[in-house]
Amino acid sequence: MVLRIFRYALLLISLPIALQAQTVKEEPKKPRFFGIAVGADLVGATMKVTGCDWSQMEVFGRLAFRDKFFPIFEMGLGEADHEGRELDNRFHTRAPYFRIGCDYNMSKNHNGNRFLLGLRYGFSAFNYDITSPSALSDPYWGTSMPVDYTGLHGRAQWVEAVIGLETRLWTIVRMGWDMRFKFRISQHTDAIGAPWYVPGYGKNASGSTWGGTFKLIFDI
Amino acid sequence: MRRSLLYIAILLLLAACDNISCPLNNTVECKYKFCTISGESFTLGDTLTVTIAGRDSVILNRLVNKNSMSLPVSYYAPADTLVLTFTDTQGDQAQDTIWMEKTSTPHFDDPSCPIHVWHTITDVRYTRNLIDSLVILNTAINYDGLENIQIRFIAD
Repeated sequence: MVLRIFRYALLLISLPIALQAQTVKEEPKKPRFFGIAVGADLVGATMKVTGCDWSQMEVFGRLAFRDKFFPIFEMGLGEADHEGRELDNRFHTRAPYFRIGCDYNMSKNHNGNRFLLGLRYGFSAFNYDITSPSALSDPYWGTSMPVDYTGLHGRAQWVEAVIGLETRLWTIVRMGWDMRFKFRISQHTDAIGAPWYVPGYGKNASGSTWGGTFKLIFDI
Repeated sequence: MRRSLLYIAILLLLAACDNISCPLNNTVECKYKFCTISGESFTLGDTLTVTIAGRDSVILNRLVNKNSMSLPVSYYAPADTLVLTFTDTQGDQAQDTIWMEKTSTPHFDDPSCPIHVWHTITDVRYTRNLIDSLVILNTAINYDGLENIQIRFIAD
């Protein structure tokens, strides 16, 4: 008997909580119509601090419409100072780059987590240097000249397909990552040779490459 | 979610590792094709030695029974002067000289790869002891390895 009373009491206590939970489930949180966010990429900064051959310091500004569409503008400073492994040829560049594009949030729940798919158009115009402390010697004619080709001009355009995740850490602070498949659509380089690295695109070994960011984001 | 973000960040840093991709076919030489006056392929019966005029450096030694040759090109000179010495089976010698004018541009692939020099032939002149004429087939001397100059000999 006592056990039965206890059961009924427990049911009465838990009923409002269950109803409240049901109410919350029935009325999902509406996303804000408009928002602005700024942020920075931490991967490039980490590469810079740890002394990698190339790095890109990147910041971005982003709009948000109904937590679905996120037009974004990214800009950064890409730099590379790379010496050959077995040869002392050196490549150097330091130049800004720009990207513009849009992300789409695939997630239907507006709970702070976002699953983003997006596209970017990237552009950079830059100067680069190819130098070496060793002269380039002609083995048959016995002549040599210094390898000192500086101020070579290049520019490149590329497109990036982006897939990424984001989560809210607290209040206005978010964190997220994305991976990007980049494919070059045009490149103009000096006749001496293509740059080893293109600011914003990355290592320039082929017409496509992978990249990614790990972002700290502030909703403002 | 947050832990997955950390794993991805580590993955992205690891992905920054690089590899070297130097071209395997990186020989830059001027390729000469031997022909008859009418332009048909010709196998040289004489022994051919090629030297650089003024330096006496042998860049091709005793080539025989071949229908083509590949010669290095100077990196910086505006023109190369090559002396071709033909020795027949009796030991008699004949010489011709080829002047090849060209422009040269260093070519860079990767800091880990050697810098090579590419050339563009602008003109050729020659003496006419055994050579009848030279025909420029391809002005670009680079990794392509295409035939650049046809040497047409007077005698078959």
